[in-house]
Amino acid sequence: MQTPATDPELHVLPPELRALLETRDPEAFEANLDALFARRQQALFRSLGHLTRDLHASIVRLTREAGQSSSSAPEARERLREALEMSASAAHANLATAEHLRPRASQLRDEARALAVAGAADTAAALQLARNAAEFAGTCLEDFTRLVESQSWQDLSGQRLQLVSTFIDNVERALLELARLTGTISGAPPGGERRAQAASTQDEVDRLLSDFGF
Amino acid sequence: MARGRLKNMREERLDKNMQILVVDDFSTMRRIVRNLLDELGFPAGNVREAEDGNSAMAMLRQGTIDFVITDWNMPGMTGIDLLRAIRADAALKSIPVLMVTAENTREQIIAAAQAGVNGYIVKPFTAVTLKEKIDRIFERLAAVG
Repeated sequence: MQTPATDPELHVLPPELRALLETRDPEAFEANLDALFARRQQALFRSLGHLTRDLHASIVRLTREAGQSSSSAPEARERLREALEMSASAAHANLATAEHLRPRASQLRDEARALAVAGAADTAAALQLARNAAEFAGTCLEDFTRLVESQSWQDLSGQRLQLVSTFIDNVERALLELARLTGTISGAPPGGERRAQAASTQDEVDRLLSDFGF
Repeated sequence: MARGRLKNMREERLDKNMQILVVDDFSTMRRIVRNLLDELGFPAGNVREAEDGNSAMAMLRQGTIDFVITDWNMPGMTGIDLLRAIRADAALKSIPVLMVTAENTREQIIAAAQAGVNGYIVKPFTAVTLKEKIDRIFERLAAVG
């Protein structure tokens, strides 16, 4: 049997741990063990302190860049909720425009088809169709302006979502670092997990479902 | 009442007056689907809406719904759980279900197929795709009787 001093495997250990294992006096061993743990814990708590400050700075930056002077996480959530509401509001505005235009476009199409059947002799109907078409074109132009305006809301909501995304990245990085420090990561590199394979297009989904008789 | 109409729809392929339930937690998406259905000739008055699987099940148990179009990712009861609940309910299990969702992993699509989904559309989608899938669903139902 090899003594600790002669065991070649001990040479790969950090010097402080090797010294601990080579201690012969039980009391000195316990004292050195306590000291080793204390040093490790101090390093962990220092890192935790840095991470906490980084996280707080991320929250402050998020809320400041979202146009707020306060730095609380609840207000960050409020900004995110507002972004979602803006996005929904813009989508509803666009849908309202489509719903507004569709029946009038459909009516105009029917009038034009009827005139095509009646022929060029019906000049009164042709004149009315021209008036209706001009009025509809004016309505379209106004609604196009509203469509463009609603895109600016989408842009604003996108900017706020980007801020939240950056914040989440920072939190993720901090948590991974925390996991590394506390030794809970079991060898898998951060972010290295295999992503579920996605069928990104409808054709790919259809091909996949065809195996099930679809 | 709806069951009888469903049987007729299978025999006659597609009834544009069927009662459709659109399930999605986002009101904008429900409105988009309702608009597209209207464009395809399904009257808006025959389209009902639910914002998650639980409220959808309550509506389905009233017995007036012929066809379900559902999102996957919703709070409360998800779309896949709604599909499983429909298939597990003797009174509802024959209602066709079309999944319209951004969830597009192989595992999810296969899970939906195994749970008994009738069609699967990935977002974003067009009215043409929606029409194709609805037509296909009722063609298949007519073929199996």
